[in-house]
Amino acid sequence: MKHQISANEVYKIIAKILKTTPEKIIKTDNLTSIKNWDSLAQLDILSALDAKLANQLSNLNDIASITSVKKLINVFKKKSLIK
Amino acid sequence: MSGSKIAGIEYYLPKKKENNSQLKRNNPKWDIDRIYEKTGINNRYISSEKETTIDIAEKSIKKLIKKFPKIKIDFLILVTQTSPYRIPTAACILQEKLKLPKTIIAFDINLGCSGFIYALRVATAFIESKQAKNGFVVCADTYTKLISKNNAQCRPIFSDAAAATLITASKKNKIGPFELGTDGSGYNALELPQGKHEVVMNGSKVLTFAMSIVPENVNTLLKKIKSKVDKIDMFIFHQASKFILENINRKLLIPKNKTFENLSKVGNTISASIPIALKDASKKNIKNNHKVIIAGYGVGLSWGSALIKWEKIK
Repeated sequence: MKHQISANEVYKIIAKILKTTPEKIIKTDNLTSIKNWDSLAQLDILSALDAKLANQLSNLNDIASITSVKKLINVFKKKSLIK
Repeated sequence: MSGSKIAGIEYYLPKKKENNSQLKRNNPKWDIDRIYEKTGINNRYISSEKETTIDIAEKSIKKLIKKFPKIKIDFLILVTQTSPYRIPTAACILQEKLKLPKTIIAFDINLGCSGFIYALRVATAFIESKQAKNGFVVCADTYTKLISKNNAQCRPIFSDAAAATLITASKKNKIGPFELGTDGSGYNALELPQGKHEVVMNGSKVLTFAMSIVPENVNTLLKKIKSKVDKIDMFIFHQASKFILENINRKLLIPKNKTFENLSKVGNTISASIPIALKDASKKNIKNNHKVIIAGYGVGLSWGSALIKWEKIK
């Protein structure tokens, strides 16, 4: 069975890594505008989401360069990874 | 058909070392602790201004020649992306510098972190087809000449080194099978276009590539040899970074005691990283008859893995 994640869980995971609140993540257009975001944080986000999705994340093309939360959620929706 | 084995490995690291404190002095704004947490690298070796890839390759081969007569060498494969010459082939220069027999087959392979696996495949093919009996695979690069001190993506990771591996014919085959692959659509994940002098890396792209391809590649090899992770004694992967290795190990469910890391000490030495890790692991972690899976992956994008049945090396 395919592992899925809720949008709220995505916000929470990203917020924890960027040391901010899920509310701020929801309101943010691009993660790069958050103070604690950098390329290392992007790696943490990818790794944490992949672990939560039971290793399915690396099958998604171009996921590495997505820093917009909306785009990320849309990609997950298209791949039926969102609950 | 003849089998092959790894009969010896020697490596050379340039004298100059750059540790994380020095890196911090050059880049006061960098969060070195966080970089170390991700890379797992504390030291990098930096070739001197006048020290070329050919020089360090020569030094590593000289160590092996002390243990094996050069007159018996049939081939020399140099894996490098940082030859000081575009023309001619650097392996030809090494043949002359080392006074190796003029009957040897000598050529370069332009590959990065997967290069050792590819060269090993070519070397074993020479031996299998009885074209040759003994030869050197030499992996050498001086990436740091193409990475400035404030290149945040590359400077904390890459290190200069050369590793020479002696491959000889063996009654029982100890190397292979192999699984190799290429995906040029990711060519720009790590690149140095003509006319530029600074290596550029997209760390996230490299990570997702490694997280995706390496476990898939290793699982394909395991299926080919009808084996599973628990039947393999040791997994020695290209020492890209701690973060990448942890993610690969997590995906493959490899227990910690079957993995090997030496990147804190030597950094990411590109194609030399697997033979250097094999040499270091042979001192304690890998023993006679151990089944070892090696995997290299990186720039290209290019990747490969192989099974090694370990035999004590020179």
